[in-house]
Amino acid sequence: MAVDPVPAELLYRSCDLAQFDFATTAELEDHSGLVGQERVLEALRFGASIRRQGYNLFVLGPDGAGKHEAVLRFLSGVALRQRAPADWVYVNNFETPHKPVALELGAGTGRTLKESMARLVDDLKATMPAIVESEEYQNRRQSIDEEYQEKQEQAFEELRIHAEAENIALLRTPAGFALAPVHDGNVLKPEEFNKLPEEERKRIEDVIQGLQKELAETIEHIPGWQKEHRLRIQSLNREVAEREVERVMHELRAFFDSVAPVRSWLDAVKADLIENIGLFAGAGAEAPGQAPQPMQVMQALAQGQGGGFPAANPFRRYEVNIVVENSESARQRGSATLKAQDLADAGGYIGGGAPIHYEDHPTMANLLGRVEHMPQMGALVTDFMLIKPGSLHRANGGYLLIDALKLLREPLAWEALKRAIRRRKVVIESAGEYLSLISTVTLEPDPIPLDIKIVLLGDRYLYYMLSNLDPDFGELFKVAADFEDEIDREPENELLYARLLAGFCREENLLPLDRAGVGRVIERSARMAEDAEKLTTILRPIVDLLREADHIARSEGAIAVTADHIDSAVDAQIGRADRLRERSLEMITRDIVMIDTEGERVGQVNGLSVLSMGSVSFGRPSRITARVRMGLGSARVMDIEREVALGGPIHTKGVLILSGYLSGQFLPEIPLSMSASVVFEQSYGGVDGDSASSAELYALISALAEAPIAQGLAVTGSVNQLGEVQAIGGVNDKIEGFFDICMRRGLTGEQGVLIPAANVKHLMLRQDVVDAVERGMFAIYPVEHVEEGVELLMGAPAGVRGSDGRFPPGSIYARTEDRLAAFADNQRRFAQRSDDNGKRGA
Amino acid sequence: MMAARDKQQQQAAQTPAAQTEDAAATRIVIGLDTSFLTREALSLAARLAASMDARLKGIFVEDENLLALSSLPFAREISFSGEVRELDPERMLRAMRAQAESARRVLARVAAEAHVDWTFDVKRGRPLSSIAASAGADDTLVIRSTSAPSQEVGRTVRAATLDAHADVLLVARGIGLKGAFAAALPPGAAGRGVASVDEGSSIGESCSAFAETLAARIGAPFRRLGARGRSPADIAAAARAAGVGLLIVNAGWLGDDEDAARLSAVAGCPILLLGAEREPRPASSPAEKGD
Repeated sequence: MAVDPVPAELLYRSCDLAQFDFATTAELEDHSGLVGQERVLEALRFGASIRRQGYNLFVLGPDGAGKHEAVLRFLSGVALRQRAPADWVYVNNFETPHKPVALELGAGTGRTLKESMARLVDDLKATMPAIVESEEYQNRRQSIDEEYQEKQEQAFEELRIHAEAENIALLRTPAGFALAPVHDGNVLKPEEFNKLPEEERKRIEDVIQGLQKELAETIEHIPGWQKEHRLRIQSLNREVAEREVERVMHELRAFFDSVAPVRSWLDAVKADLIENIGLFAGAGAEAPGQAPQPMQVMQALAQGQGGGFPAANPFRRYEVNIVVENSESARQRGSATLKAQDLADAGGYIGGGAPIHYEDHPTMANLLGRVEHMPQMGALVTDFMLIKPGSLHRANGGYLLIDALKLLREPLAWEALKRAIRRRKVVIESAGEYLSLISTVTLEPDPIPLDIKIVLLGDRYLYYMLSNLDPDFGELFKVAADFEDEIDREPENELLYARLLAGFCREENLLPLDRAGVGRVIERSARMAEDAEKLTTILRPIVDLLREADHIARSEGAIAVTADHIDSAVDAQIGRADRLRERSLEMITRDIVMIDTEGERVGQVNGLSVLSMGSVSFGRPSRITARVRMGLGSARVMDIEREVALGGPIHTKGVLILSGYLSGQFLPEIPLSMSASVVFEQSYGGVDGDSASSAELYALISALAEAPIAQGLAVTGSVNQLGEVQAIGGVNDKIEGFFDICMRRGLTGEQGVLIPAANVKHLMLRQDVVDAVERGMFAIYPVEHVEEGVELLMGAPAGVRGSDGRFPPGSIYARTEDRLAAFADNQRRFAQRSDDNGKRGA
Repeated sequence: MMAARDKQQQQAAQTPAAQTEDAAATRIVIGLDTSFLTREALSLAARLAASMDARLKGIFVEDENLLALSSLPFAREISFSGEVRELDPERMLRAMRAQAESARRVLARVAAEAHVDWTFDVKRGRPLSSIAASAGADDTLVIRSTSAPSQEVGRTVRAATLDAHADVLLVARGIGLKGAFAAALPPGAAGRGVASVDEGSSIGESCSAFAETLAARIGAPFRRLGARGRSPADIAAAARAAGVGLLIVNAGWLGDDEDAARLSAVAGCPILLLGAEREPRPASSPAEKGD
């Protein structure tokens, strides 16, 4: 059962440079598609083409895999073939100003309406004063005024004549009228009046009293005459206005005649213009109440009329607020980018067709739009011109990309988005009002119908969490596009990878890579994938590596990035993040953390673990010890980590599996009576994972068999109840972690690491490790079964149960079973003695 | 012209209310109350003052008749809303002063808008006669005859033109002012024309020359209406038919007291009556004012 070490050529799979026929990546074309992501492409194709409710996409995959760029690249091709969606504008609702009207217009015609309305107002501002000043209008107006004045004057004239006949004058006072006795055109003074005979004074008073009654009756008619006069003026104004408004609106109405909602809104505009024509007639025209006073504005606000800013600009009500503009020029803005952030800045288009928008800050307001307010006389007021669109408006008719994590971090945003998708319309809601934080006059704009494909991007954890916890999620995001983390490391994919690197170099303006440089990046990619037969698709760290290697190459004046530059960049990356690893190594080499790398010890083995902190991870050996003694009728292995709540559930599972293995492997016919404890020595943080379970088993067997374990070896691998050693993660880091300790203390040629045989294909070890193996100073042992490991570690065969049902004498397992049998026997005797003592006592 | 206006604007801004009387300067004198018709006439007077580079003088007259009325034991006032109230002298005086203050504010605003200097005075007496008594030889009196009897208007016009040798701009009852006088319109804007009554005398000739200059100044058409052998009623009918916006007449040509009011009423436009026995001042032209 002797196990041969892994040959050096399997420790690191170099890239075959002979397959490349280019000198540098400058000679290669970019690769514009996705490498090895056929499943994602199919999902995107399906998700983008199906126009059904709920078929939105969730693109899931690891961070840095280039999901955004890949999705944008795909959608840009799809969107280009789709027609540009409609423009949307908000306009004033003349009947209920707090409910602005949303109008759908053909792509690019929103601005036509806006400019036409502005021209219309300007035209009326120019023509109406001239019309009001015209001779025709003035004559008609004067005739109405004169008629009114004549009617009044005639009534007062009759009274005046009647009064004058009685020597009484009708006088105008500051606040009305009065009657007084006159003589020679002058009012009698009191002393003159008092000189008159009593009867004359009485007569005058009676006459005046009678005239006062007549005067009161005349005055009573005035409001009626005024009303009639006002109505006639209004009628005149209406007639004049109708003619002029019809004239200036003719072209505009003809242009939008086929759009029914616009047509009916223009009818409302016409009616309002006629009603308020005084706004255009200038200061000289009859327009009662045309310049609202503060009280009127406040009153309008109190009545919930919204009102906006009539005092500041009475013509604002005829303006047009373009919330979505899909004109040809607007569609060209983002044509030069495939980067999500640049797209967000550019306004959401990639070269025409349907819009593609990326919402970088998906708050509720940024998604749904908002109604802004402005202070006016101490109150916050708003109107339809202050409606601001959200990304749902802008991407309507196209695609909206949102990072799922950002979305979920924003209060109310996720629910708001779901509501919009479910209702298929965008209803502008305010978070402040939703939470009752603010209460002011606001608007209820018309909802806008929503026809959009939402593309959420996030990692797998988020996808599964949403799937499990949110019942709506499955209904609304039916298409999952799952990015592969890795692709097969095959010659054709290596060439595609080279073209991908060529594209990055050009896009980032980096020096090209020479052939060896490409090979080294591919090897690095395999190391990142933790698999010699795979390449990682998480491209962000690869691009970072290219940038850093380019920096080094340029500083050396090189014209291309070579393998050495890549190595230097990798070393520099490790060096910058190496403090913790260095401290860890130092603690071991100074014997503060006790790790033996030579000699033999019973019940003690070097386990291997990986420490991950942020972007840094490295392997570190840990001393695992086991102690055994007779137990109480069972094979109980106590996991000290678990007892003190430092062990995770997977670790605990691994330890419990050991009991299963021991129970099945030894003394199958009699109950075991063993108590054992296993611990990671000098471990003060949490321990999880089952990659140390084989090491723990070796320590237990060593303790039971009292067989010492070679301390120059370290062990990694999980074990099942049948004793098979299973693959683990981080094999390269673990090996290198133990190698570094041995290296610092000096390689003895007896040192090495036991790894699961299934992990051999994952080996992409550092060159110094490979070199040491080649020199026979270090060894990597592939272990398939626990028995192999026992023999390697304890220097004697584990032993196979013979036909007599016993392990060969002297074998490790025979010694183990003998020890367990002794425990069981002792336990039985101990129990019997207790029973006897009990009976005697009774 | 513009420089002169700017200067006036600066002056108005520096001394908005406390204007000092300059007896030598040309003045447009107008009687004030707070009624709509007076405001219209005030606006006209301001435009006239601006076009003649004249000073605007507003006079508020505390009507003696009203004060006498308020002392009578049975004096009552019927408000515009039909309410009957008792009157007393103190209350009447208070109301008049409030009205005067209000009139002053309106005058200030209108004068500022027209960029003309202004003064304001309060007198006591009979309104028209007090205003006529205030007029001097360099003044133009603006009379908007509303409720006053036409005889009283005629007497006032005659007193101002014949005795004080002032000019009178008379706007008879029922004459709309909007568009009637184009001085406030932008340059080049169409306005109703200016006409003069030429009765063949040298004064009539001067009168026409003045009218022609004024028409050129305000960009309005000018026409001369021959008066020989025609009565004031004929002239008025001709002016109305021609759509004249301002009729300029030598006051000496008019006959009895009521002629002036009748002429204005029939012509349908304001009448500028030039003071009798006085050479009419030339209306300053842009070229003359071109500083």
